[in-house]
Amino acid sequence: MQNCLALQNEIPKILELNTFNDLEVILSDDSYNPIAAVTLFGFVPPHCITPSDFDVRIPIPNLYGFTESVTTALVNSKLYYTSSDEESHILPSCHRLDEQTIRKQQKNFVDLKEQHNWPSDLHFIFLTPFWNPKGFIHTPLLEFIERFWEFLQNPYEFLNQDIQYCQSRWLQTKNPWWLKRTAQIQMELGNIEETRSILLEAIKIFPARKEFSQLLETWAPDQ
Amino acid sequence: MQPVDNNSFFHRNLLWVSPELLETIKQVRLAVVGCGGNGVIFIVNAAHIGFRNFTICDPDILDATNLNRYVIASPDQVSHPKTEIIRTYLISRFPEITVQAIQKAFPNPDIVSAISTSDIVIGCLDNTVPRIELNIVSRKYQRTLIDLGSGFIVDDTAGPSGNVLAAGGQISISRPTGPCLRCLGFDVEGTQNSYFIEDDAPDASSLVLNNVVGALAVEALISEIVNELSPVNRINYDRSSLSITQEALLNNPECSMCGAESTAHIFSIAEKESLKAFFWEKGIVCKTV
Repeated sequence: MQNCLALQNEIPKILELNTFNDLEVILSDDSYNPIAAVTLFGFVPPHCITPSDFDVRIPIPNLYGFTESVTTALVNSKLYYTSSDEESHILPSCHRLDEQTIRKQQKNFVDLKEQHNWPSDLHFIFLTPFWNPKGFIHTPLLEFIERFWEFLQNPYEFLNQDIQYCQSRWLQTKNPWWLKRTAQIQMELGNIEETRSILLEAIKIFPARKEFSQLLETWAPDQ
Repeated sequence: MQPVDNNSFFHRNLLWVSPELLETIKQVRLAVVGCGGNGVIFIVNAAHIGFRNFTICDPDILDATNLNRYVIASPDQVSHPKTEIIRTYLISRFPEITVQAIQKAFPNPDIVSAISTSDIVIGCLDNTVPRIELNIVSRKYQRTLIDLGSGFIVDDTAGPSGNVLAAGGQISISRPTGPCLRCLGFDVEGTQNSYFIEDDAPDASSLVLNNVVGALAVEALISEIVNELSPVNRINYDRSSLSITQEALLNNPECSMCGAESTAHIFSIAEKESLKAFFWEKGIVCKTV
């Protein structure tokens, strides 16, 4: 159940950005979630990212503007980051959009429910949602695109800052999701010991929540 | 079987409910969204108190594993729609009752239409997202939502029958001018958008817990009708201490569901055509999936 007023206010503002060639709004058949996604064609990332342009599809979550903001970008190519020492790595947090993820997220995103012919090289990048200390305050689409750009400019620094943010949210709210997200980011950064230590701590604090132990069992750090 | 006349049926109720209140109760139109363990107990209790006008909504059919708390159903009703089982039960017991059964999942235009013509909405949904959506629709039509929730937190790491770490339930009352479910403590923070493994195991459930929460919700409903409950908007039941506590929570003024500027946002839901027209006017290309 999307907030159409928020979308109406925000989407035209994206046109003012000069980081892409063209914008398209993808409508859905679901009357309560009328916008499936917004696509930015010919998105030009910072120089440290390869390829030098790609399309970005931003799925709009079902409770957009009420209790959800945009957090995920779908890109039509695997992205690489070249660090200052000229070494090129797969961009952290850039994962292939697989069947399991699509199935699991269909209840949250009308785009994943309605679209069936996803290209095989589609990847997704999930960024930690921003939460205002006063409670949920909606983060507009434009800010997500700006954050996405910031992430691409220096992904390692961005994710390290995210860890600090997640830890402060964990301390404030005691919501296990922030522990999961911290572990998730540590995984993205390849920090094996830190990931293991967070998951073990989480299992101790939340013995009834199976996701932590499942994650530890299925996690393969060297892959 | 001889039908029981209303005077006899309500005789004991009328020893504590005034005839005027009983008459009011009979007229109240309830839209009950979700007919699981809490929903069915709520409906049965409400009907026995005197509520006579129900719209009941649930897409599911009865599973054999529901029988531990679906006291009105017989084993031969397994695989029948839950709404139909409840409707059949209510009509057989209360001939003058009006029951509209909608075998669909929320959100759905038929259910939204039923909410728009109801007086009070009763939410008995399992998941956070449809709960929030029901709250948005209730607020759009200026209806009070009484939301029921109950459950167990079980540590089953040691075996299939685990230790109960916590159990209980809550009744959240979201009035049109009061806090939304989110401000009443519904934690949607971080429940979505993760690619982590989710736990799809069935939840522990108990008829006794459903009985406590379902019956307490009917008491809350009656208090709401006679306006005796406000400003209380959350009632918590803790199974370990067998205690019931009340809270009067305040909203976040910046909340997009119940804050100062929320009305325009709430009213914008499902406005696809005007959204399309707006984008067209701005020269923004729209296409379908």
